[in-house]
This record gives sequence, structure tokens and C-alpha cells, in this order.
Amino acid sequence: MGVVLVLSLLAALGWGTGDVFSRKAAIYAPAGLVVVGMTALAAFGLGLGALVIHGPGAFVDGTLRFYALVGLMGLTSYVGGQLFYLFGMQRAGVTITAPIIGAVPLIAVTLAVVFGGERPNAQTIVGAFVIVAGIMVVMTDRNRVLR
Amino acid sequence: MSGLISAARRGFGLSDTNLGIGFASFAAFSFAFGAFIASTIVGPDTPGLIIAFYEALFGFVIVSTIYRRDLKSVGSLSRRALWWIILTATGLAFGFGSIYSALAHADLSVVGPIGGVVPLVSYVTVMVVLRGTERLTWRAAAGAVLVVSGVVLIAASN
Repeated sequence: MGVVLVLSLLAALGWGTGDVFSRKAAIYAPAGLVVVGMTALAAFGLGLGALVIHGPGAFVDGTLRFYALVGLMGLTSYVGGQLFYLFGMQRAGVTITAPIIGAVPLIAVTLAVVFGGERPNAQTIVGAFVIVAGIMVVMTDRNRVLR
Repeated sequence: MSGLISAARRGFGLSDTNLGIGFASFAAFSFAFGAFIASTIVGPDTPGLIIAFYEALFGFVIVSTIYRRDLKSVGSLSRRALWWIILTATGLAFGFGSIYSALAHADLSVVGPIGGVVPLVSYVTVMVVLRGTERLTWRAAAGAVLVVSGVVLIAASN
């Protein structure tokens, strides 16, 4: 569980800081260029990391099904996720959209249970609800926003 | 892309706020769906880093097609802009690479909620990077305590 906890928190750290850094980048460059640039550099960094850790052989082991699924993931994560979140923030503001994004863990758990056949224990489900409740408490606090 | 959005908005008679809520809801589902697909293919033969690499590669092809006009101005990028884009990409790479690697060791129903503390990290980062835009309140601190309690609950039960 230690490895899972560290990797999951590292992921949250990466996404959480990246979210803020992208807002900063969008001040100095067109949003489209920011999205293309960060996706290209992320692919480069991940490719380099995978090459060092797993070697070149790991890149060519995939089946057609694998490439179709990661292609779909590219569409859902970078277009359906990143781009549409940006569009949502531009139109409804971060105070409305952030709590919606905060519900991602509950959607993920629902998908895992309904379609993935996972059976999380009661304490995990309670923990998921407590995390989402905490995120909602933070994100719906308008007094924290100064400008 | 913006023309398509404007046409959809006119067609359905939606306000900007409702459209924004719709986009954010779609984004939330998309993020969760991407993680769900990853959980079904990650394993000893398909490491999380390889999945994250190909996902970003396909993502790059798609977004560069959508924003092909913006690519003409890539030469005019300032050093400051490039610096923030590199930092953003580093964060994204760590995010996707780490979460898919975690999925090789545990179920999505365990990894998903722990990785869901992203808004809390963003909040803390905003206070450091975008100083003067947000402040720490008692309510936000209480929310943070709830988030940490949830993570501890999940970690203790697995």
C-alpha cells in the first residue's frame, strides 16, 4: 500500500501543480499553444522516463487493441478532459467548475464497480466520500478567493 | 473549435454558465473514463509509464491538429512562457505516469480517491505561485483535514 500511496499522492502533486502552472503559462502565451506545448513535452518526458526504466523493447510490445485503447485515452484525457475543463473554466469560472472536477474520484469508483467488477471494502468507499466532501468544502469556500 | 461551441450554444439556447457546467461535467467524466481504461490494460507487460507515454503522444497528435493555426506563432514564444509550459508538462507527466504506475499495484477504486486530492494541491500551489489571489480560511483548513482523513481511511483499510 505504501507504493500505491506514494504514487497516487505524487500524481496529485503533479496534476495539482501543473494545473496552476498552466494558468500562469496562459498569461504569457495563447491557450492553444500552451496545450500543444505541454502535451508534446509531457510525451517527451514520459517517453524518456519509460526508455530509461523499461528499455526500448517496452515500446513495441503492444497489440492493436492496446494502441486503440491508449488512442482513446489520449482523446478522453487531453481533449475531453484538459481542453473541456479549460472551456468550462472560461465560461463558468473556477469556483463552479472546480467542485465538479472534484467529483472525479466518485465517478472513477463508480466506473470501477459497475464496469470493472471491483468490490472495494466499506472503509474505502467511506474514505472516497470523505475526500470528495473535503474537496467540496474547500472549493465552495468563496471567502478564500481574494481576486 | 470556438465556432463549433458558439453554434452549439445558439442551437441549444444555453447560457455561458450552463455551458461551462456541461463542459466541466464532460471533463470530469473524461478524466475518470481515461483512468478506468488505464486500469483495464496496465500490468506487468504494459507498464504505467508506457501507457502514459502513448496516451500523451496520441493526445499531442489530436490537440496539435485542433490548434494547428496557433502552431505558427511557436517561434514568438517568450522564455518566460516556455518556462511555465515546461513546468506544466513536468507536472502532467508526473501525474499521468504516477497514477498509471499506481494502478499496476492496486484497484482504481483505491487509487482514484487518493489521486483525487488534486484540487487541494492546486489550492496550496495557488497560494505559493499566484500570491494574493487566494488565502487560507478556517473552512478550507477543515476541508483539508477531511481530505487527509479520507486518504488515511483508505490507506488503513488496504
